[in-house]
Amino acid sequence: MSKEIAVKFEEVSKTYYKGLKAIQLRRLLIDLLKPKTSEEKIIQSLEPVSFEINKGEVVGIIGKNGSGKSTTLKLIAGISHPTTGKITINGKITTMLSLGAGFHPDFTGRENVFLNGTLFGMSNYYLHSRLQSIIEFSELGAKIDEPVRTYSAGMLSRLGFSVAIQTQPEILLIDEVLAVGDNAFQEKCLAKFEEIKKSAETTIILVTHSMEQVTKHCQKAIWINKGKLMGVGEPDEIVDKYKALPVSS
Amino acid sequence: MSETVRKPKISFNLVKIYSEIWNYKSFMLNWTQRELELRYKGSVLGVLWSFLNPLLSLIVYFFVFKKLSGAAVPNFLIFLFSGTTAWLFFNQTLGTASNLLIGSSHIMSRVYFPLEILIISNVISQLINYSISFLLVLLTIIFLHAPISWNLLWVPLIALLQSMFLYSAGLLLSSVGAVVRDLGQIVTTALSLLIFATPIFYKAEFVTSNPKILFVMNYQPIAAIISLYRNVIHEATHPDWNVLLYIIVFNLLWYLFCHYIFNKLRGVVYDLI
Repeated sequence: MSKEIAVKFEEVSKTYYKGLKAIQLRRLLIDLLKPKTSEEKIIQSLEPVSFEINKGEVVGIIGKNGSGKSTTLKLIAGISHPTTGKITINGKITTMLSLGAGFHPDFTGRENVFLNGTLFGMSNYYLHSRLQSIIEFSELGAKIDEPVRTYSAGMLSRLGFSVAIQTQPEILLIDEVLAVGDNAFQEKCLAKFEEIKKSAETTIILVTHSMEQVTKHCQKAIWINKGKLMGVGEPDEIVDKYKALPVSS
Repeated sequence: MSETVRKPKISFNLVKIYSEIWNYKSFMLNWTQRELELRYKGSVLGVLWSFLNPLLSLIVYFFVFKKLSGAAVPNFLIFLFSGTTAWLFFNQTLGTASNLLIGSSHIMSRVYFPLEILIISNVISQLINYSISFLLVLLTIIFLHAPISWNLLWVPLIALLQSMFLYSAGLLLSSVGAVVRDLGQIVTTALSLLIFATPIFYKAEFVTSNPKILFVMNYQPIAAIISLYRNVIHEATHPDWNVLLYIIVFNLLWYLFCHYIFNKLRGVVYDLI
């Protein structure tokens, strides 16, 4: 594979089986007593799709709720496995599907920095060296030594973001984390992304509902509708097509 | 620059799996520490429970089983204690294993990391607990003026074999437990039966003379591991070489089986949590 490609999907699909739920004996008994009804049990979350994302690109994935955007992101992240096809990834991935994953409410902000940061694969040693800038970016000050259950939602996402951003990612996956937090925070995050983009060849893939973000920041847009790939290409072009589609379909 | 390929079939490549786990060693350390802190956070006596729990149950077992086994076993207290502390290590680890993946769904669904770490951390934190309560066994030996033998140095090796057994079992139970949600209850029930079916409070010879039953009672892995502890702590001799060899070979096969199943279910687990 060419070293210029960061993410490559080849005929990748994802199917969930409705019947594939965790087995509970209680439910098994109920199912035995009830006559069987045959219904469509397969949910095609993503039909076979193929696309490539180049290194250093900022890519926006758009589409309505439940269209398969997040599934795509999870497949790239490795927290969901493809049903068919092949995904090739070139580079270290950092996922920001939600900020502050693994934060424990009873532990202090400082303790959670290490818990959350190492969950991203960073070492304690490295986090120690970055601690000052993490605390600075999060604007928490002395509150860093208080349990995070006393934090506001804004404080949590600021801390979560400033930890996640320390990973020096080669591929950054973002799932609407920017929707939380106030405007000032969003601006700060976007500025940070611009900084990352300039300093390194970081590929950024974000799922978003904001068409403005896509046309303003992205070099490529991927549009998914009902598990089907509708288009890949210039953000302006794709966003226009997306807007032209009737709401009902 | 690393290239990762994700395909429907997840390959069972142990070198790859463990080199990835190695990269996450800081997380493993922090997560283990968190497990230990959470266990005692908010409890007044804290780590003291590692002593109190086995001590209190020992006192109960001692009075209940003194009549049955006490007369036939010299230094019955040491016999009993070496078995019950090891049993508690089995019991705590197996009892929590089924819930390990389900209980961590909040991080699994958001960040990718090697899931094996959750199982390793659980075993390590329980092992630390066991080490603390093992000090009580040593105190008992000193208190009873029983001989302190060099054979006690075998204990870390036996504990390592026990930890490997529990790590494998944890891989199996945690992944199957995510699919079959009743597994946790089943294991808890099985453990409460197993504590009496395993020769912990008595010697198997006291309850049956049927050679087939005796064989199963003495050579099921949990009983076999406990018998190794008994060799070096209670009988102050070297471990029975045959049993030691059996446990090493069993562990190896058991581990491969459990990790294989865990790996097979990896993809399904993500869809279910």
